[in-house]
Amino acid sequence: MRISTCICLIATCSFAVGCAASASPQSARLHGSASTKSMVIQGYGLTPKDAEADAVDRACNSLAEEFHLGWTPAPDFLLEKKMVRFGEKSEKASEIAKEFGGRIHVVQMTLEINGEQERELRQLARQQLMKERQKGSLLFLMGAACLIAVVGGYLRLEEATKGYYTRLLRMAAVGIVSVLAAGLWYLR
Amino acid sequence: MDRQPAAYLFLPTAYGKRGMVMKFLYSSGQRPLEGFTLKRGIGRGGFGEVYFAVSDGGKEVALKLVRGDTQIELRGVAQCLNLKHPNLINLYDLRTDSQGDRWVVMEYVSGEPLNVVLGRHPNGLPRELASEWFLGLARAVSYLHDHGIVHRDLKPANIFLENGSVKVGDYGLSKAIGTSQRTAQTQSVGTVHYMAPEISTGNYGKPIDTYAAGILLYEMLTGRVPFEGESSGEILMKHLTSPPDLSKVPSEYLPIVSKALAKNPAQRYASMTEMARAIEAIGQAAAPLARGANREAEATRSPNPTPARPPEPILNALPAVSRRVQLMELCGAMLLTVLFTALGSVLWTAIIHPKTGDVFLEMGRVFFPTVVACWAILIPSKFWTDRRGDSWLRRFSLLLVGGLVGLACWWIDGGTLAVKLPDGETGRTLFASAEGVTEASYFSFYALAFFAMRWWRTTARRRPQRFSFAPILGAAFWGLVLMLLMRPLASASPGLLVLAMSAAIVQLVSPWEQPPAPTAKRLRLRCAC
Repeated sequence: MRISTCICLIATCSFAVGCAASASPQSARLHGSASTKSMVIQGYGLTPKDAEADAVDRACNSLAEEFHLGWTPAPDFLLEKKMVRFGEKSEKASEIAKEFGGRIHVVQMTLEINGEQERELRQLARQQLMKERQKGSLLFLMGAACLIAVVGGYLRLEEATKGYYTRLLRMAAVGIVSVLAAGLWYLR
Repeated sequence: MDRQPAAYLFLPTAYGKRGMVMKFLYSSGQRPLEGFTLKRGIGRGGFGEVYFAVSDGGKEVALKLVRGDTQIELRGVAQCLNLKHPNLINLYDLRTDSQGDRWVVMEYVSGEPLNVVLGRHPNGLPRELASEWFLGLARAVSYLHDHGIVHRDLKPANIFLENGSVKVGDYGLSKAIGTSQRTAQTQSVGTVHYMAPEISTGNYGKPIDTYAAGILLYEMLTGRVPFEGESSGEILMKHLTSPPDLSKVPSEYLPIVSKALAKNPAQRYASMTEMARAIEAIGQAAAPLARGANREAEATRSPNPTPARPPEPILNALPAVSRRVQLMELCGAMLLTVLFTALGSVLWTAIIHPKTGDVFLEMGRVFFPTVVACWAILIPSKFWTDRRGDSWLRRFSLLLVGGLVGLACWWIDGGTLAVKLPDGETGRTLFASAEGVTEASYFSFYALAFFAMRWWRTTARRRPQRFSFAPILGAAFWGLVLMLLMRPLASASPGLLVLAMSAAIVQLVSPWEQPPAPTAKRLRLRCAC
C-alpha cells in the first residue's frame, strides 16, 4: 500500500472517529428522549366547535414556532396522534361578536407532545422542506441541463460548420436560452 | 512565461490572451479580398490578423492581413511562395486588396499548436513524442535551410499538429529583426525565449534556427524554456551570458541540447539534419527522419526533385485535445450524468420499494446528491492538467469540493440552519441535532469521502480501463467506513449509494482513450501523460 494511501486512511479514520464520538451520545439522547412537553392553548369561536377548531389551529402554529419546524402541521395530525386534550369550555362577552349576540365560546385545550411525537413531527417537517427544495433543485437542474445542452450543441455545431453559420448558431442559441429561461420563470 | 497570444494563431477559434475573445478588423461574411469570404478571425499578432476564409471556389484557406513594414516582410513571403514540403504550412499567394492592404493566402491548419500541447504537459512530453515533434520540425527547417531561408521565428506557437503530421508555419513573415528593428521582434516575450545570442550582434544565419530548435527540444523534454525572466532584456541577457540548466534534461539528450544551445554558433550543429540524426541515434524515435531528411537533401540537389515522403502519422498517439473540445466533452458528460443518474435512481427506488413517504421524494434523495457529486468530480478533473506530485493538492481541493457537495446534499435533504449553538439541553452537537443530522455531518462525510479517493483517476482520459469496478468498491468502502463511524448520518442520507453511483457514472461519461502499448518506458510515459 502506498504511503500516501496509508496517511489518507489514518487521517480519514481519525477524523471520522472524532465525529462519531461527538455524534453518538447525543443521538442516543435525541432518539430516546421521553420527556413530554405540554402547553395550554385557548381557542375562540362563535360555537363550541369553532372554538375547538381554532384552538387546534393555534396549537399547530405554536408547534411550528416552538420547534422551529419551518412548516405548520395539519390539525388532523394533532387529533390523529391524540396530542390535544380539550378542557373547560366557557362563554364570555365580546365586542367582536356583537352581531351574533355579543358572546363567544372559549375552549381551554392542553397540547401534549412526547419525544416520539416530536421526532415524528420533525421528520414530517423535514420531508416537507425536502419536497420543496427538490422541486426547486429540479427546476434549477433543468435550467442548468438545458443551458449545458445549448452551449455544448452550439460548440459542436460551430466546430462542425467551421464558422459558416456562426451568427445563425449564436442567434439560435440565444433564442433557445431565452425561451428556456422564460419557461422556467413561468414554472417557478 | 506567457505564450498565449500567438497560441491559437491557426486554431478555428478566436480566443486570445487568457481566453478573451479577440476583436478583429473584419467580421464574418465580409470580402475585403476579392475572391474570398471571411468566416472568422483566428489569430492576431504583431504582423496583423489571420482569418479563416473560403474562396469563391470553396477552398478553405487562412488569410493573413500583413501590417507594419510590409515591403520587407512581403519580400520574405514572396521567396517562400513556391516552397512545398509536407511539414510546412503552404503559402498559396500574395494578394493586395482594394484598399492597398497586403494579404497572404495560405493553407488553413486546424490542428493544435505545440504550445497548447505543452500546456497540457507541464513536465514535458513523453520522450518518444518529443522526438517525433522535433523530427517533424527538423524536416521542415532543414528544407527551408536547403532553400536558403532562415525561419528566425521558431517557437511552439508556430508548430502545429494536423492529421498526425507536424506543420511549421509563419516562415517568411515577421522578420523585421532582419533589418535590425529588434523592437518589432521583441514585442512578444514568447519569441524572446527562443532567440539566439548572436542576434544581438546582427547575425541571423541558420544557426539561430538550430538554437531555437534546441530551446524547443529542451522545452518539450522538460516543460520549461531554459531562460526565463521578468523582462525581455533579462531573458536576452541570459541567452547571452548564462549557461542553460540542463539538470532536468534526460541524460541521453544532454549532449544534443547542450550542443544546440552553445553560445557560439560555430559550436552548434552544422545543420538541422545533423541534429535530427543525433536525435534518431538515441533510438527513441522511429527511423523516418534520417531517411526523409537524406531524401530531402538529395531532392534539393537533384534537378528533378521527387516529393518528400509524407511523415508517418505516429503523433496521432498523442491525445491532442483543445480547451474547446474539453468544454464540449464536459457538456456532454454533464448531460449524460443527469441521464445515467436518473436511470440509477429509478432502478434504486424500484429495488427498495419505499414503504413510507413519497416515491419521488426517495428518488430525489439519491438523484440530486449524485448529480451534484458527479459534476463536482467532472468539472475540476476536466480542467486540472495532470501534473506529477500534485496528488495531495488535488486531495485537499477535493476535500473542499466534497465539503461543498455535502452542504448541497444537506440542503436538498431539508436541512435548516438552526441558530442554536451546541448545548446539552437542546441535544444539539456539532454533528447531530433534534432535527436530524447537522450540516457539519454532511460536510465531513462528503469532504472525507472526496479526500480519501483519487477521483481524478476515474475520469482520466488515459485510465487503464474504460470502466472498472475498483473505484466503485473503493467509494463504497469509504462510504461504509464513514457511515459506520457517523451512524446518525447512515439513517439520514443515502451517502454510500451516492458515492458508489458517482464512481460508476463518472467513469461511464468520461471520454477514454486506449493507453499506449506497454513498453519499457511505460511508467515514465504514464507520469508524463
